[in-house]
Amino acid sequence: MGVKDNTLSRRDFLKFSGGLLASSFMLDLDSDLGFLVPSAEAAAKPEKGEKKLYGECGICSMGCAYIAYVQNGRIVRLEGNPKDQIAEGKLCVKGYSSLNILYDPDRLKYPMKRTNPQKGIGVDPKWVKITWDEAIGMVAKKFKEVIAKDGPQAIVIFARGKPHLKHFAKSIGTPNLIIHNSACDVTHDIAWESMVTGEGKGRPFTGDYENSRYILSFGWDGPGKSKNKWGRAINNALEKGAKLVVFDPRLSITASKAHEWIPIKPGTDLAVLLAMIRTIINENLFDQEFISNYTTGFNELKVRVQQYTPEWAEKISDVPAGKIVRIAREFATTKPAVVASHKRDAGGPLYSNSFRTAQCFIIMNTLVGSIDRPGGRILDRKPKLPKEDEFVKYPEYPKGVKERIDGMEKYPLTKKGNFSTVAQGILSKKPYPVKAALIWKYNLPSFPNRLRLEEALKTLDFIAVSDIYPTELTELADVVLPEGTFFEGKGLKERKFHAMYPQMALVEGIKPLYDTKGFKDVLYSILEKMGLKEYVPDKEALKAFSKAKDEALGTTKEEIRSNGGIWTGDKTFKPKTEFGTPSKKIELSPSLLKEKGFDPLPYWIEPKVMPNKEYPYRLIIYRTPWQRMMKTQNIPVLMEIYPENTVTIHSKEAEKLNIKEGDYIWVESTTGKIKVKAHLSEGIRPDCVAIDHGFGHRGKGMTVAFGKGSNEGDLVPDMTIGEMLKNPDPAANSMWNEVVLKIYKA
Amino acid sequence: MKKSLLIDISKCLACYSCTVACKSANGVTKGSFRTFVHPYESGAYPNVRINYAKHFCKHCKEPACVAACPVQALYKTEEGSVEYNNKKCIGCRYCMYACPFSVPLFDWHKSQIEKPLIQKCDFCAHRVDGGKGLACAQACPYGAIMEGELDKMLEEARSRIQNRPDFYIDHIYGEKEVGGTSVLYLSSRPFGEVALADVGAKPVATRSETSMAGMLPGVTILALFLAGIRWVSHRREELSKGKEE
Amino acid sequence: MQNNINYRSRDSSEITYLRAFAYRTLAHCFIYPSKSWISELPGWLNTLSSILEDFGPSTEAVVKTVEEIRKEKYSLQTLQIEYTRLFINGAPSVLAPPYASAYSEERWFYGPPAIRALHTYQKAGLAFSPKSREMPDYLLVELEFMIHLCQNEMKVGKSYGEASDIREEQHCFLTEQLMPWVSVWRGYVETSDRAGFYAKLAALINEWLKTDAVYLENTGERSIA
Repeated sequence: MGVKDNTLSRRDFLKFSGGLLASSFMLDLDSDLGFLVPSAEAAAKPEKGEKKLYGECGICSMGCAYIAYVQNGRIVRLEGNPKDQIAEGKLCVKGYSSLNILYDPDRLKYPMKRTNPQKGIGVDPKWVKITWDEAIGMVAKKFKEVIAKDGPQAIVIFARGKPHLKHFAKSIGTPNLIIHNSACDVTHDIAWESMVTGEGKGRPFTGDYENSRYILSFGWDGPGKSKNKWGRAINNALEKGAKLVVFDPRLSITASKAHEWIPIKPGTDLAVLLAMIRTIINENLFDQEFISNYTTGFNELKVRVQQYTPEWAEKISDVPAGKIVRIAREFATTKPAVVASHKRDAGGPLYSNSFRTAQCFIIMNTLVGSIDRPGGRILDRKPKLPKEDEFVKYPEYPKGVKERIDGMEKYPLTKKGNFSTVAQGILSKKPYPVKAALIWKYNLPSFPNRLRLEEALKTLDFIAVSDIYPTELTELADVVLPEGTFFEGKGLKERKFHAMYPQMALVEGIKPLYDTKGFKDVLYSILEKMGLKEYVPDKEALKAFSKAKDEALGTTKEEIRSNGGIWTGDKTFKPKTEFGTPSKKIELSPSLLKEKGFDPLPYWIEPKVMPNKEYPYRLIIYRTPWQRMMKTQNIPVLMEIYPENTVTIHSKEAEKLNIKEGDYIWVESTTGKIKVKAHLSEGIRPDCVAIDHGFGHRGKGMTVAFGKGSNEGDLVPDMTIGEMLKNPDPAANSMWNEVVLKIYKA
Repeated sequence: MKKSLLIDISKCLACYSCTVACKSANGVTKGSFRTFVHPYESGAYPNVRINYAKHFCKHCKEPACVAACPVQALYKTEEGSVEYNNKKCIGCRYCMYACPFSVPLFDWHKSQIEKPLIQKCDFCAHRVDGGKGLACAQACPYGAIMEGELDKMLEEARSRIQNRPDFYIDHIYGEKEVGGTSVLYLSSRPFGEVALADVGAKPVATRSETSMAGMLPGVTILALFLAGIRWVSHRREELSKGKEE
Repeated sequence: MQNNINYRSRDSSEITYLRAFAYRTLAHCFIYPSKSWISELPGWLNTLSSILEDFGPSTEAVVKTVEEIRKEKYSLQTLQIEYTRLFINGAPSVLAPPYASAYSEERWFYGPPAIRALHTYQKAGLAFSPKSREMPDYLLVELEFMIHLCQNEMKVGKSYGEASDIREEQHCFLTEQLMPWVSVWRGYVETSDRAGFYAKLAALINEWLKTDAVYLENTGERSIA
């Protein structure tokens, strides 16, 4: 007898309840409630004070360590951890406001599946909540079907290149792990790998700018993107008397602090750099000792740059020859000097010549002896820890097809995937059809020409998306796998890209707010469900690995906690005398490039596009200090500060076109057009317009971000692999700024 | 001890950390700000400069807003800050007209749903996020905002100018302006370029009616008009008090 | 006025039990629909109307709503879609999140109402179960808290002072925490629900809270008198 079997009459009920008044039998809470449990501890009194929790900010790759103050289970305040060399006690505007992400009502909360077979942006997928078992089961079942019918290559994974993702792709046998680095740091990656760090070793981001005396930037705007450590370093260097010179078509925030702002013609930085290198070499201003002890290929370089005179560079770049020579001399004779660089500067994935530009950054730094020397670019100083593969063993991976859907097998040095070519690969079904995709925290506006990718993704049978937010891309998903925020994870994080000495940051998460799962766990669960248990790491082995890490650090999490959340290794700076290349030297004419069939030395090619009568302006994409790409747009306070993005136009040009401050204008390329609010300024070249990135969300589920501003990526063409191969760039960069535009009043 | 903030405009990177930190520390209503960073462009291409300056209450030694406030909702503390008591505020907005820096903002949203509210920096006198001290100074990642005792900050400002005489303008904005303020500014560009106008060294007010007229001759009529309104509203208030009694 | 609950005719602890059961039933109706849930639903609704009928004429409106829900046939998938869309994540966006914080001035979850709720739970000697992945101001957690309070009242039995203290606690939580936001939430559900079930359920929950508040007020008055 009971409620659940529907046999309880009113009379029974009363009789029954009368006899069992205090019983909780009928009020059984455990089955579907049971949120609250009696607690002796809690009864004492409500929590009044604050608890400290240590963690690492996940907004950008700087990864500042933070201290969170918790009251009643809620984080009320964030501070930078003063023990962390990156945070130095501060966070940035995005970090400070990131609690808005944690407590955002729009977040994805439970796994869901679609019940509406019709797919499209703005079409209600008719989600229904499902359990994790069901969600993982659906993905595993679909993947197994696709593998059986079309082969594993018919599954495409869009995700960051974390080790567990590479492992997952290899385990199921697909070559198609599409990482975003063609739109990020691919040019710098390959330049550093071939010249300094060695194949597959990546690039450093660290710069000891604080101790530089002469800082050159070619489109680098670290301080203007809230890269705090660099902002402080530049401020401090300037205070100590350093000189800062910025080449940028736009008066960036970094340029606003510079001694000289040189509005160079976009995409021509390489010409200026080649002429500077020629000047420094021909006038014997380079660091002879550094060049002879630590480099190879100097003579080949010397021969190559002879053709690039300052007068030649002036014609291309609009920078007077005299200025090029003067700055080259100042750079080489003021020590220490450095060319600062990060990702999307002139050496980033913006122009036809960007890879060679990135190469010249390294050459310039090498010529003045600023590679891994105080005041220069610094190589990684990670703690020496055991590697996971020393503990966790897997059987050999299945051998699948080599051809990739983005055609990147044609590029011997970058196998990480390409955001520009993947959509046309899927649509052309060449070299094979793609049936399913697994996507982790990428959104459509992160791709050039997102409409093409949208079209491509709609041709697939199945899409699974893991994210924090209901982005526009999740609207195309069949299964949604919600992930937690960086506040809800735990662990010990290596200080990676910006460390002058080894440090580890303790990460203590709060209890997850929803039924979310880390993507690593999701991947292992999928493998297990697919019957690929042999590729799931053994729990005991992981435990041993974790123990070995603690032993290598000589400490425990508890000890790190009591020391303020940070483990610090040896702080003494020992300049490297050997490098990761085959010759163990900095290779100015890299053997790796030669071996793979590329010209080892930098050379100039004509830019992909030039302004013309119909499209007289060039596109410049930049980033504001208060938005991190597409990630932070749902934070109300940041949208209050700056509700939509703008297109910066030179005042005189605007006058000609009768455009006033705040007018909405159309910005049009051959790929697409967007409507943006105009901002007039004298701080930009008259032949350029600049648009900041991150706006133009179409996903209505992100209620704050939706419909605000426009996405400049809609102006940038995607490519077929054939088109990509026309640019002789070993890095296959996406060329985000090789776009010409027309503008007119809306 | 006199509280003070030293703002070094040359170090500001326009990141808005101060704006965001201020809002969450003080629970400032959506759409309102107690501090905001503005860009100021000067010159013509290619010899153009952009400077960024944070604007907020200067906490004058002799605050015109306090003098103008008919109900003592605004008041000067011993630490030098100008604080605000929302309970007393009648929403007359005299303070907004009196302030030589146009600082106080009327919070239309809150004023409509609750009671009149002026948004203005109060040196974080009533933080709601559990933190102590001045939120903007704590948040600023670049050392552009420094918190300290007024004499110390003046000393610091002087020594910065001394160390880089060819860089900084030889002037501490706020040391003498309107009789001195608790907020001091340093800049490498003329203060006029970042909307820190030459407001003179004389305090704006001891009595708001006359001083407003003296301070801004062009708006004498406006000042008289406001004084009139003030008289009327005082009178009304007195009358209504009478009725209640 | 809905002040005619027939409490005088019955032992007050028996009423408390019925009230607890009403909360339990409403909470059950609000959990995410599953196959077994939908097959058991008529049973739960039957029991609910039995309890409510027994309360007296004041519950007529509530009973009528229960009857209306009971008459309709709902497909499981329709209810799941509506539930997800209204309360979890939906397109265009989540429409009626069942959390008190969603209806406070700040846009954040885990806002002041959640902290207030958590304080109240802690004062009553309850903690959040480590298993649960919800926030303190989630509708079901707040309903569960009312059940706990009813149970506490039943435990102290006829000890008059204590029982009335606990009733005061219930009244306080009901009128200060639950009712203010549930009445707003109910409006959102009513305008957005396409299936009809949740609009009626939200109305039912809202009606019940009002009815119960009146009951508690009256017993309070009685105790003062």
